[in-house]
Amino acid sequence: MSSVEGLVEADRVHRSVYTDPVIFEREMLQIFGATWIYVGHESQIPADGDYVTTSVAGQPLVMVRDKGEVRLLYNRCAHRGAQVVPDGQGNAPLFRCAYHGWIFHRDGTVRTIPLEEGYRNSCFGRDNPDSNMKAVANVAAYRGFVFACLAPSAPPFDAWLRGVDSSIDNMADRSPEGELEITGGVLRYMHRCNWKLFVENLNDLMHPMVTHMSSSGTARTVAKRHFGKDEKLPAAIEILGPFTSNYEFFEEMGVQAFPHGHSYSGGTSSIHSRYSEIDEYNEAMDAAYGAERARAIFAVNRHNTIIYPSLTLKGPIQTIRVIKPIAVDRTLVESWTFRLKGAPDALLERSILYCNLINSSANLVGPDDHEAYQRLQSGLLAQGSDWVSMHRHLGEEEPNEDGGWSANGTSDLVFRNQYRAWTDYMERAL
Amino acid sequence: MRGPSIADVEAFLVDEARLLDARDWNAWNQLFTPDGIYWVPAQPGQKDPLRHVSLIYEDALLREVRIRRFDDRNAFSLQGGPRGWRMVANVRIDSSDPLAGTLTASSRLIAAEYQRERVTRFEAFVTHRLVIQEGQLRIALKRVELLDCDAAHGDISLYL
Ligand SMILES: [Fe+2]
Repeated sequence: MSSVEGLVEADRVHRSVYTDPVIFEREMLQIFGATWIYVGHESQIPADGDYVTTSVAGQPLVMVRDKGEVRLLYNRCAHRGAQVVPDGQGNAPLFRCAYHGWIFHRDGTVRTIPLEEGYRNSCFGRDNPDSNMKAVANVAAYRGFVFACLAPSAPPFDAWLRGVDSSIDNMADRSPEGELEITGGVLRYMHRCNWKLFVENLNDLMHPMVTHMSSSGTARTVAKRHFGKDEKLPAAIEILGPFTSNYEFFEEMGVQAFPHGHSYSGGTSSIHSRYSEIDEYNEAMDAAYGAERARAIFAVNRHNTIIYPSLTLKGPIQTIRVIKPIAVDRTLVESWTFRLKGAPDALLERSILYCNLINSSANLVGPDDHEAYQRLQSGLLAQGSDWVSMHRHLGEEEPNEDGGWSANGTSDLVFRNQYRAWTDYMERAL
Repeated sequence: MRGPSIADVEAFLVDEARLLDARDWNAWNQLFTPDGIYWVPAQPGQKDPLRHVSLIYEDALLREVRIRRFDDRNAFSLQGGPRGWRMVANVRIDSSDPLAGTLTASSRLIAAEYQRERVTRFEAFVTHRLVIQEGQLRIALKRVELLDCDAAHGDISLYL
């Protein structure tokens, strides 16, 4: 029996998918607990013994580098269940539980059990795997982005990522060395809404010109007061202004959808395509790739890529947002920035500025999105209608070259595609 | 030449807080030097505002955008009028250079923001880098380090 039967149709979803705590619990099991979820970037743990705590579906994990390998362990002592490694990052030769002093190697195998002989005839002992910190069943990485699947059988990773792997490629290729390094800290923004409202908004191209008028529109007004028509604008204005581009601009950006709920908007143009050139960077790219290949890399300019359900990225500005559902109406969004290895600091500084202006909970753009999500979360409690329509431009999508579908920017294709995947995940037998 | 006394600095900080309480954003903004910065770091002890994210890092141009937005009826997240209250205490002059007309003052801030049935409280270490221009104290840098700056936050709508 399926608890989601009848909640998703080809062009609409029942409002309870956003408001029902039972559905949320099922999502944690069937989606976040059973497919590939982003857990961190390899550059967070460059040296042996480096670790960083992370989580999937509310479960504490620790990602650690051990003999060069990236390992992912459930952050739980085998003995009584205490979280072994406190939240944060660091470097440790071994992990020692704060409660009864069990000590584990970085691969999770137990090294020391105090008064071990007292556990004889039990499941505990240094030769018994029940005494180890458990490794997560499936871990895979693509160009440094590490994903985990908690369920024993994971979808084949490469096939799962197909279509949006190219967005990761384009972000990493923008480094003259072809490599990314997470740096510059994290902004953690607590949202009072269902996680899907956040994810759906990223490729909702009919909202920016409305929702962001007071920030982006105001930035344009202020810029006009201070700068002439052909004057170079400060980076902050270059970042804020394009959010209130007109409908035609967003329509032409287009959207691309792929199996498993993935998507991206933009392709050759986006709100990031008109940032000022940084000569020193262009020269480094030309030197690394040759002018033609460098142009080809810059010719790809995507807005938001959604690696459904947990990772969203912006290649042209080297930021990601990671979605961590907390409760049916509570979602933590983490924003991280990357350094393009071999690129001048000006690139990183632009990414930082972008995150401050757009993703900070104290800034001008994100809070108006958050306001929209909160209004959805409360509006959807109304019984005036039980359904949320996703019909816009239904049937007008066309196959694209990468095994997905393509549509005009204001199509609801991306939403319909997410709910196709959502339904598959929610209904399958684990 | 004598620099501003602790009483002068305390009075300045209290007046500044009162302007914010009164939502007199433009008068508050005029307390800054032309290249003055308002900074809310995202990390305790954060030194670098350019290569590390911040909750807010604003020059005059960005403050002008935010202040205009306060009065913009399309600022949806500000509807229902967030209002705030600030208390400044433990003011100290940490260093001063009377010849250059500059000083650094630190204080503790307790503040609250109210909007739609919800009060959010803030506690912060505040540093002001002040300069004397035309006989007046001016803010070259106001750095508001929230006690929980590296925690997850909901919306922070006002200047603190
Ligand atoms: Fe938005």
